[in-house]
Formats: sequence, structure tokens, C-alpha cells
Amino acid sequence: MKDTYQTGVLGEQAAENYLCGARGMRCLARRFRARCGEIDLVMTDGGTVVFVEVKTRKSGAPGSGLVSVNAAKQKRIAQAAVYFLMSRHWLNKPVRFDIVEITPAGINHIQDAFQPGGMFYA
Amino acid sequence: MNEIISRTLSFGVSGVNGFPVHVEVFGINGMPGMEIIGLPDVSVRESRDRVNAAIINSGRQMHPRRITINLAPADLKKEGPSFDLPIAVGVLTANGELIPSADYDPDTTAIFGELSLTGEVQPIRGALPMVISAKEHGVRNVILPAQNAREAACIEGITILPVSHLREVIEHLEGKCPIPPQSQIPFEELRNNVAPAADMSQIKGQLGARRALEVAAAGGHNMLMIGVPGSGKTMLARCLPGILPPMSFEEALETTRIHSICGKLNSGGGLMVTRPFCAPHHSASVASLVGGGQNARPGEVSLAHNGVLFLDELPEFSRSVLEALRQPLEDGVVSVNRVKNQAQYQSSFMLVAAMNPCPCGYYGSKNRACRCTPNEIRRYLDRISGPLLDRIDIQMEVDAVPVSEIQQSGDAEPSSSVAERVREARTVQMNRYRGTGLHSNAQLKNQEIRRYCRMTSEAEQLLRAAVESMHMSMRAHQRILKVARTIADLDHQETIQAQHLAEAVQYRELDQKYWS
Repeated sequence: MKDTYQTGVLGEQAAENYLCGARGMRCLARRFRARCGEIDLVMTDGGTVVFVEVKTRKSGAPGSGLVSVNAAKQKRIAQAAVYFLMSRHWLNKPVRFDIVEITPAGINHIQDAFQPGGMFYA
Repeated sequence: MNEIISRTLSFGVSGVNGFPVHVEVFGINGMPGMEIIGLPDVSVRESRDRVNAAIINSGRQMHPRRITINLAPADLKKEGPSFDLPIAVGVLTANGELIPSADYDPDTTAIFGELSLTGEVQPIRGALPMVISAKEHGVRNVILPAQNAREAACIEGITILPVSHLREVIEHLEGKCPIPPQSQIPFEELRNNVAPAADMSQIKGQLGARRALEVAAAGGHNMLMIGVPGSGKTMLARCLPGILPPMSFEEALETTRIHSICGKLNSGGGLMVTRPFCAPHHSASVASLVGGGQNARPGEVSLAHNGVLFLDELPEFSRSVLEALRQPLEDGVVSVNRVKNQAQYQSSFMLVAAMNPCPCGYYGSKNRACRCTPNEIRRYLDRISGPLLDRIDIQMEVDAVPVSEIQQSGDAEPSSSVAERVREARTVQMNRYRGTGLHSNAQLKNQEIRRYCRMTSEAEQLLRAAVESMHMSMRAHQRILKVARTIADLDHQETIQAQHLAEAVQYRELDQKYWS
């Protein structure tokens, strides 16, 4: 259990380093928690707020982590994102949802991975 | 770039008419997603995913924004994938990925087409009615799928821009690479390259039936052929479109419109120049024949508009189907009413029916004995109702062709020369009925019959004798006159003479033989 947790934390750090370095983003929050859900990383990319879900896998092929970000997970992330945006009065900012997958093969960054649509728009 | 709205003009189809649809796209920051509103059906709503993929595959970006697409007017149902292309153009413009050149006027340029995931533009249904409606609404340029271009190319006064990929549309609107317009296809040119499906030179023997076919074609009369199996009833019917006069531009437009809505046009084909020949199977339902279904689509009678509806094995059709034919036969239109929509479809066709005289098929045959009981025969014939028979002017018995005639070499008279006589007879009728709203002898009603069917005293005597000896009804009497009128027209006579009348009486003899 401890092991899994640490894997997650290490992965999130690696993802943050990657996004800040290679992609030139800035980190706004780590492990943002709301009652309705949790977001691993909140970044800004130019003027866009980017909510990042990080999936770390110690084994397995690239892509196996992506599958686990299913509709229910997306919904939780989107709800937490709305909470984050509201708390900062940022609802009119451009928003994007990314997934970063870390596997033994390397880092896989998927921009605009999903679009939660209008139902969470406050 | 915070809030941007773009408007693109497109068209939808309701019944046989197009109506303008404004595709409004509103892009705003916020939760990314794409929503389509304005009563879209499933195929319109799914266009969201096609548009997404097509834009990316055309080398443009999709920005993660909250996009609302409205199809105005919001109270009319929109169906079909033809809004893919205008939606894609609208989304690109709203996202700032496409900055139209000054030449693009969104109010006078209509866009329609379906997109594939690769960005290719696919053909759509109903392109012709949409282009006609676009012209009526003052549109000057139409961007549409290349496969639909020829179909629309006959409409004058509107520029048709055929496209096969979304990229072409983008570059055209940006003014980088204008699309060459489709050149107009004159109607006459289309009409000159037609080969009829079946030619009368292939019919051996059957002199009586050939003549009946010619009379039916000349006057637009409905026709019933009764005969043993294999006597050539179907073959005869197939020759009919080839001897009918060529379609006028208006007729071609009307017929093509209906076929366009049903998606029955050959892709890349232009206006229909040959009269349609529809032969529905006898298991056809009422909805498939007269039109209907959830969305009130046109049926076979409308597809046969200005052409021939051939019903083989007439008694095998269900009773309700045959009775449903009465309205289109009488009025030349069907009104289809459904909960969701209603529509009127033109359906002015020549009915040609064929049937066997009895269940086994050989009643009255010279060569084979019939195995049916009189009761069976009566029940079989009774499946055809009196009111339907009443609407069929010419009845014809077709017997098997003797072996000696089958083996005869040499062709019979070709369709082209029969068609020439038919055309002359139709010209006579057109001149006679100019300004009355009538086109052919088959449409004559009581008063007009009295007015136009004048005959010699000899003919009058003959008619009286025939009516008395055959116990004919008033209606049968009138139909004889109508057919006699056509025969006289074929003979270039203004007054109906005794021999014309005698021939017309022949086409009623089956009433006596089978249905008395």
C-alpha cells in the first residue's frame, strides 16, 4: 500500500518536472482536493488552465494507464476543476484536460485528452 | 479571442422542399466540449465527432473550448449528415483557424455536405431540392459534394462549387485556392445520350398487346394485362418508358427531386431524363408504396412520378395496398401524415398491372388446361376491387407466343418508331387541351368527355349497340370514349370514327369475361 502511494507521488513529481521543463508550463497546485474529487496537478500553459491527471505504471505497455481514466473518473476531475476555477473566479479562462502517463517505456503526455462538455459549466 | 460567433448558411429538407438553416457557432472559454442544439436528430448530433476528426485530418487545430452550435430556426427538425460541412466551417471560423477572405459572403453562400473522418466530403441526399430552395432564397454560390454537382448543375443562375475534401473548402474560403465552378449541363445534352432499358424490337409476336401498349402510352391510360405465365407481360411493361414521350425539363426536375430525397440517384448522375420504371414486389407494405414511415418518406408511387408503376401479380398485393393506390391514381398526389411530420408528394404515374387469370395461371389458355375450380378463380379475381378496376382504362389479354413466332428471325418494330407516333398523338392532345390544365386523354372527366369526344353517327350507333349487348355501366361507357379519343388521335382524326370505337370496345371485353 505504502509502495503504491510512493509510486504515485514519484510519478507526479516526474510529470511535473517534465511539464515544467519540456513543455514550459507552470504549476499552480498539486493534489488539489475538493469534496467531489481530486486533481493531481493544476498547471498553466500560456493563458490556459490545464488540469492534469497522472497515471504511473511500474509495468505494462504504454496506454494501459489511459484506459483507467474512464467516464466516472473524468466526471470527478471535471467537478473538482469547476470547484477550483470558481474558487479563483476563473470561470472565463480557457481550460484544458491533459493526461500524463508514466511507464517504464517513458513519459506519454496527451494534450486535451477529454472534453467533459457543458454539463459542468457553472 | 474570448467569445466569437460565426454564421454559416446551409439548407435542410422537409417533404420535397428545402428550407434555409443558419448554422451558428459560439465558442467561449470554459469547460471544453461541443454541443449541438436546434432539434438535431441522431445523425446530426453525431456530426460532432466527424467534424472533430475531419478538422484535425485537414491539418487544422481543434481548440479545447466550450462550443455551442445552433441550427436555426430552432423549431424545425434537422436530419441527415448534410450539416457536417457547414458545422466544420463554422467551428473553424469561430476558433479563428479559418479567416475567410473578403469575397466570402456568408449570406449568399450555402454549404452542405457530409464529412468522413479523414475530411473527405461525401455525397448527400436531397441536394437538388436544397439547391432549388437556395436559389429561391437569393443564394449565389453553393458549395456541395462533388458527387452531387451534376445533379445540381441544371439549375441556372447559381454557381455550383463541387468539393471533395474539407481542405479544399478551407482554402477556397481563405481565398488561397478558389474552387473551379461546375459548368452548367444543358438539359438537351443530357436528353440526347439515353439508351432505353428495353426495346420493343425484342418482342416477338404479341401484335395486339403491342398496339394496346402504344394506345396506353399515347393517352396516358392505365393498363391491365392478364395472361398465362411466361407470355411476356413483364417484358411488355418494361418497354413502356421507352415509348413514352421524353420528359420535359419541369417533369425531370420534379422526378429528380423525389429521387434525390430518397438518395436513389446514381452518384455523379445529372437530372433524370428517362422516365422512371418502378416495379415493387407484391409483398410491399402500404408505407413503402404510397410513402410514410416515421419521417414520412416518399414511396414507390412518388418515385414513379411522371413514369410507370408496374405491379406484377396484382392479386398478390395486399388489399390495403391496392386500395391505398386510389388517391394517387385519382389526384396525382399523396399526402402522408405522421405524428412527426406531414408531406405531400407528387405521384402522377401510369399504372401498368399484370396478373394471371387464375391461381394456376392457365385459365383460358389455348395450350394447357386450367386446374382451378370456378370458385378458386372467382376468389382470385375478386381480390381486385371494382373501384380499382374502374381506374384502369385498358385491359388486355396476353397469350403465350406460338413456337413458330418465337423462332422467327428478324426484329419487330423498334421502340423509336412507336415513340414517334406516341409523340405525335401527345402533341395533338397538348394543342387541344392548351389552357385547360389537362395533359392527356386519360385525365378527361364527364363534361370534358362530352365536349372533346365527338364521333360520327356510325360510331354512335356502334357504341349504343355495344353498351346494350355488354350491359356496360356509365363509367365503362365513358372509358371507352376516352380510349377511342386516343386511338383517333393516333390516327390523326378529329372526330372519332367507327373503327376507333370498335378497337376501344375491345379493351373492355375482359370485364365481361372475368368480372361479370
